[in-house]
Amino acid sequence: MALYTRSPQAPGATREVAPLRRRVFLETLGNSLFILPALVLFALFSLYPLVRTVALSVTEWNGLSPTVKFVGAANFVAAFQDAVFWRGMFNALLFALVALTVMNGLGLLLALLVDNPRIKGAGFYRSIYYIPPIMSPAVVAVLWKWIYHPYSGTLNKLLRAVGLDSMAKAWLSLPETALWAVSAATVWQGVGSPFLLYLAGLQSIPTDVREAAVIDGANSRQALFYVTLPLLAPVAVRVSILTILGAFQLFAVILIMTGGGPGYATEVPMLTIYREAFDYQRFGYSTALSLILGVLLLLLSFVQTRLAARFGGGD
Amino acid sequence: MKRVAALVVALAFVVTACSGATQQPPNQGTQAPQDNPSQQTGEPVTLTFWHYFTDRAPLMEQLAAAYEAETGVKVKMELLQTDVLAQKFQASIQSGTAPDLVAAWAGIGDKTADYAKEGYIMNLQSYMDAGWGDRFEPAFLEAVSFKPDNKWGVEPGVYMVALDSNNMQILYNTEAYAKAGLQPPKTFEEWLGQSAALREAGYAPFAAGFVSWALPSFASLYIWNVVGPENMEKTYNGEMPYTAEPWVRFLNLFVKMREANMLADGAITFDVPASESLFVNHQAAALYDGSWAIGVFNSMNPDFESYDVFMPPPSVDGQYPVKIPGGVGALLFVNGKSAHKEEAVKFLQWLTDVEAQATYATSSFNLPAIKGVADPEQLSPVLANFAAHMGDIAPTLSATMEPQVETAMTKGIQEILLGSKTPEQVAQEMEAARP
Repeated sequence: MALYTRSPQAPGATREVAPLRRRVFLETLGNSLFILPALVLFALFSLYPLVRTVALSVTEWNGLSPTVKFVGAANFVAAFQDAVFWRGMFNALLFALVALTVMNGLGLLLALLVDNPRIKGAGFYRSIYYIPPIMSPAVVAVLWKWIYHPYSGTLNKLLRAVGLDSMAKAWLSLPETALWAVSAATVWQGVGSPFLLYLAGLQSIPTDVREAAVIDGANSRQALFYVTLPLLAPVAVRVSILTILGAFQLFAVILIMTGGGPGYATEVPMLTIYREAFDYQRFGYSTALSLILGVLLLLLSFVQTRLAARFGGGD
Repeated sequence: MKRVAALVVALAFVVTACSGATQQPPNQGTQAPQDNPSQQTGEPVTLTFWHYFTDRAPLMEQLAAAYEAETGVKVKMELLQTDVLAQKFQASIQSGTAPDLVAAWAGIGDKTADYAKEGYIMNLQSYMDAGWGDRFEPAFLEAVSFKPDNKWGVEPGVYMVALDSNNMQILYNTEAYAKAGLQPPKTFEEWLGQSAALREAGYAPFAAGFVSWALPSFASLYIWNVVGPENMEKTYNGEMPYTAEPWVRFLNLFVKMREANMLADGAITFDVPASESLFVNHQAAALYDGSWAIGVFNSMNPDFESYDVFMPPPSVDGQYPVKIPGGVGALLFVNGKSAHKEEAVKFLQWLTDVEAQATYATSSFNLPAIKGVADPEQLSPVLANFAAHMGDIAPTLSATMEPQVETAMTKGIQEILLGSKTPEQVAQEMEAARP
């Protein structure tokens, strides 16, 4: 059958095209029906909340009243002058830096160890390292509060037992230690995720590439730095983006461990957003803050992806 | 294919954008009684009651069972954490799943005014006028009322009901004080001076849940003492700044507290249960808590009996008496938009009747809310000491500190206690936090 039309005046041309178009249309309709449920869910749970958020962000609303007052850009102007929110953003940046270095570094190290054929029980390690990420943040927070308890906590008891009494302190109550103490808890909880992603990345590297490096005389260190890690770069980019997004959305662990204190030492943007909405009943302002956070994270992800592509880490 | 997908996405946008994004808040989901099939058909009513009474949860279930046996109305008790009760209630309104009865997260003021104004906290004045109010002390009814010409524009009336009465003072470990050779202090400064001796005796001098509500509550003792009621009302009504001298003088008390090394290590980020745990385990010599703590201690450590209570001592820098939080204790309200609000009111009336109150008071170690139930002879010595100071309870003012200012004050006091901010800086932050 001819796929292309001949001259429109050519007899039979229309008869040949029409069945084709109809078949293409039916095929397209069928495909669309398959993706329609996902699109509907996306519209309901992503698009609709997004549109509502944008609409609320230009209003003043207490969450209860039937009337909503339009205030234009006033919420955004106030947000850019909100010292508490920007202090939270700075703290979130610190959390992100710790996560990017310590958490991802540890995740990579564990993945390299588990990927080593000489290590037995890879499946076992895969399971136990992934238990913390699936634990409830509330459980993690309570657990670490016990560990850090100044009087009966495991950490201080251990320090006193080995004669380091002077190092035992109220870890969550001192501004110089609170943020790092909470970071340790979030690293502990989160390391399983980069570990799993790096492990998957390592296991997807073709064995003949590594064998070729060995044949060419590379030792294990050289193979790691010149073959394995460069091939892991796309995974590293994705892990970094996810890590930054996760760090800026920290909430439950901090709410329970320190409440954002002492003072604002562990304040984070999500805590400020939550407090504005549910303690002060300023839903309009709260959604403006969340939009600003969302846009900044989007920009950060975009910049990261572009930089990674430029330096060979993107795909 | 691309066109169809684009069409579907565009349709999604149109549908979401047209769904009343600016004028209609989400469904607040309550039915009028006449729409409720169970009421129309006479089916058994179930009331949902949200509360935070961890130490009294079994007692609440017992009372609910007794009510059901008597009336056939089931009361489903749901225990929630105090810190999230307001937020959960807010969310439940928006999702149309709000309960019928709630233990209030705060009293009359900024934190509940909006709910009262929109009818989610029901005005009970008409029921009080019909005779229910006769059971309560006038001061208790005043404490749960929005007054005429209040700043929130809420229709005046009684909006909540007290389940019990209480007050907050300083509980102290009698063994610790005896070991340190101390007596309850007469002034705040004398109390600070006892810190060294208590630490020497192996105790943290003072614990309190300073990560959350206990800090502004403790601060209020000395706001009354140092700032005074007249200046408080002026400030809350916007006629005096928080940077005024009395407020700075009040904040300076926390500098003294820091210099005396009075607070238990880590108390700045302790919640109230953590502080109570230190106290019942003989690690802290004193604790700021309410009369309900007796029931809490009983459940945490039934063997712990070596404690008593003293009134928070006034500061030499203050010229007004210390006023303690309290009076009405746990407060309950009816969701005014509930389909079962009449049944909910009836349950509250039953709960504040003599028999239920007597059961409640003796089982929970709390003071009753209504007249004619508390027999001083039957109260424990510590509870009797709490009860003896009901006359020192802070009266209700016409205005309260705004929540944003309270947060700034709480965070600021934490930073004063850490030595990272001065009273003047915190006062400025409080003033700047005014909405």
